[in-house]
Amino acid sequence: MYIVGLSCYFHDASACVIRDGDIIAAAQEERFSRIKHDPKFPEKALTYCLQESKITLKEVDQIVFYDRLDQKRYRILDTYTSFAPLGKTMLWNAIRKWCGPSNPENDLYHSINTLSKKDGKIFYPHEIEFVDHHFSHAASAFFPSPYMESAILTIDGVGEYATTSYGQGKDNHVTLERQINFPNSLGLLYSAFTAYLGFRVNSGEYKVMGLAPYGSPTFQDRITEHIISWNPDGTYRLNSEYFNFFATEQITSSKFHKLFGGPPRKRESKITPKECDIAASIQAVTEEAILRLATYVREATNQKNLCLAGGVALNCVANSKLLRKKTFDHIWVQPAAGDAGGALGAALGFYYHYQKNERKISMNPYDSMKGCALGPSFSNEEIEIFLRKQGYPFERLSDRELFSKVSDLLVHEKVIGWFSGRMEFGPRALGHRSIIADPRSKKMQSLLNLKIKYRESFRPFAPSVLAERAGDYFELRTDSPYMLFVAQVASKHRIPVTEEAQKAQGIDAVKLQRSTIPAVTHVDYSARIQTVHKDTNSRYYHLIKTFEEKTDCAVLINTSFNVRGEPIVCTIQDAYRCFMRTEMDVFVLENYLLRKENQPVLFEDET
Amino acid sequence: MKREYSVKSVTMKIVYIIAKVYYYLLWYLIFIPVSIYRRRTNRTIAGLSSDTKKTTWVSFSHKPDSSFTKKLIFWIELMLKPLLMMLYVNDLLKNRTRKKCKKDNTESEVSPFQYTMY
Repeated sequence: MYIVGLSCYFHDASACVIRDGDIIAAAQEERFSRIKHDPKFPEKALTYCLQESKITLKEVDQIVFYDRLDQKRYRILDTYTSFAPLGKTMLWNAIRKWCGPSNPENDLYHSINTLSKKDGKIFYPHEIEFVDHHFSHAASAFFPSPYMESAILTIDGVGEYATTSYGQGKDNHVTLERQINFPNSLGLLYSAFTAYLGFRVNSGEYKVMGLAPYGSPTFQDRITEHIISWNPDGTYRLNSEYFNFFATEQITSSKFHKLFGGPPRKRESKITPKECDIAASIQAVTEEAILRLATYVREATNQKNLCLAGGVALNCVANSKLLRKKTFDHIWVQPAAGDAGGALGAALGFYYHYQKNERKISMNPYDSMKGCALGPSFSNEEIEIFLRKQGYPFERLSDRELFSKVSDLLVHEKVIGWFSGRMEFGPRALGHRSIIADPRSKKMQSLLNLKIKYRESFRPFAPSVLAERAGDYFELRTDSPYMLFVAQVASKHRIPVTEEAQKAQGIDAVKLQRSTIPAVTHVDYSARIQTVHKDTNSRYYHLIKTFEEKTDCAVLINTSFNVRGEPIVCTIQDAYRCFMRTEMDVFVLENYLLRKENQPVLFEDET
Repeated sequence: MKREYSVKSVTMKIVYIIAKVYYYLLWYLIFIPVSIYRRRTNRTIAGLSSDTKKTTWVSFSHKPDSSFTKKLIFWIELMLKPLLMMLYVNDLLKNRTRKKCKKDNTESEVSPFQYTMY
């Protein structure tokens, strides 16, 4: 039975195809359209997923959408009849979208039928199933997880009405029990601070998380006193006087600005210690909120395992605090925890929960996500045709030669674009579309930030470490194949910082060397870790293994293969363009190695 | 130069103006009074209650959680129907067919099959 899952119209549109519960393909539209967080109908991603599954829409048994669009409309009306006279223009704009071609429901049917008509099939409205937004998140967290029974917690900005929900998963069934409704939203609270700190909402949240260790949570009391209140049952309530996002385009109110001593930071302006402190404070509040919710969910469900999803579940610092608290014995987080993963949850939820099909735990010891490698791949033959046609000089190497040569280049502080296997699904590059470098290099963090990624200098880089050596480098008590947990660098690898140097404030602290792997050690000695497993990520594993044999260091820097403002590369062309536009030294496509100095000058229309 | 108005464009403008007037009437006569009433009676969208000690957990459902809200939304939807109709007619007159919009949106983008093309 083939099921297509779709998520779109808000942000991070994606599509997936599952066959009898097995995930065949999943991809985000942004990777194909090259528009970051593209919300449009995922036509190209769906076309790819069908091609990968070797079927057409005619052979699809069910299409499932991750959200109930009509209920979202009701929530909007509910909001404006609560906040008027605020929001006159916003409601008018919303109503303009509800009629005519840009209406999401019309667009959904039309887009599906445009694709399916080619195969002689028309999908009627009743043939497309709509499931709850938070059910999709919950299903995306539970069904691919390695547990037969688990508590589920989903936290995001807002779905139809829900912003937070919890329940339980058992065998092939997900039961969501309770929810917290809009406008009380942990996701929107974090987004409001993201906007106030001068970053883009739905995109810059992880920058706030990265900025937090540079500051102290000096504003935490102010936030808990004025903005958020807690209840003993883990619930929270936002004070609506501090926000305008309910009904206007401005996210925070003047009262909010007064509380934090000024207007929002202008984009691209200098980051001061105050911004670092605000980031640290909202991060601390978010962690506390998640801990309170999880503690309540543990009591209410009496489950030992927890599955997490929703955009807030991408906050790996909070996930790690939860893990360290041992509220639950095991935690599994959906790697595409945001709306992109909703497509997967909708399809899996329909197959197991609604169709009541038997669920078997994957043969893979970790989960059913196949290491998140669910996107397009390119064979050596396809790559060679491309390179020859374009006339790009290359070397073809066997696996062994390739791993050895790449390791040597890494030792010589070269920055390498690593393009291998199927593209990742979700926001993280996990060794398939990655930029890799030597983490022992002192200059590497600023070099990568400023000359390769063209992004803010404070942004940390993540380490990829051989799973069996993770304990030697980090104080990590779980596998982290999807970079969803952070841990401290092990004390034996730390370098004590002098008292004088410790006085460095804010982002000046980034220049200090804190460990034997400085490029992946954040200012608080933490690192967002990817444990690399031989059975799910073989080529990348062998590369790190070869690097380890040469250097006795089982860690590499792994950052996504893209530049600031662009989605991660998908095709050979995207990757080559990115390689040539940045100061990367070497580009590896499967078994082909390209050196920058040998490449012809790239003209923009060439690829 | 003297501007020429076609029947279609004049009708389109009239429909748009009527739609806008209808919307303003709805906004001032329905939305604002309803909003004031909801705030006074503490029946605003979930969670805005002044009782900060009250739990915000509610039973899992994608629907509004009170019968008041359900009825309210039913009536508001009904009142919005004529407006949606007018805007739809306006769109038709503007010749904003879906086909055209789709073409406009995708013009600057790469082909859907880019990943198999060299």
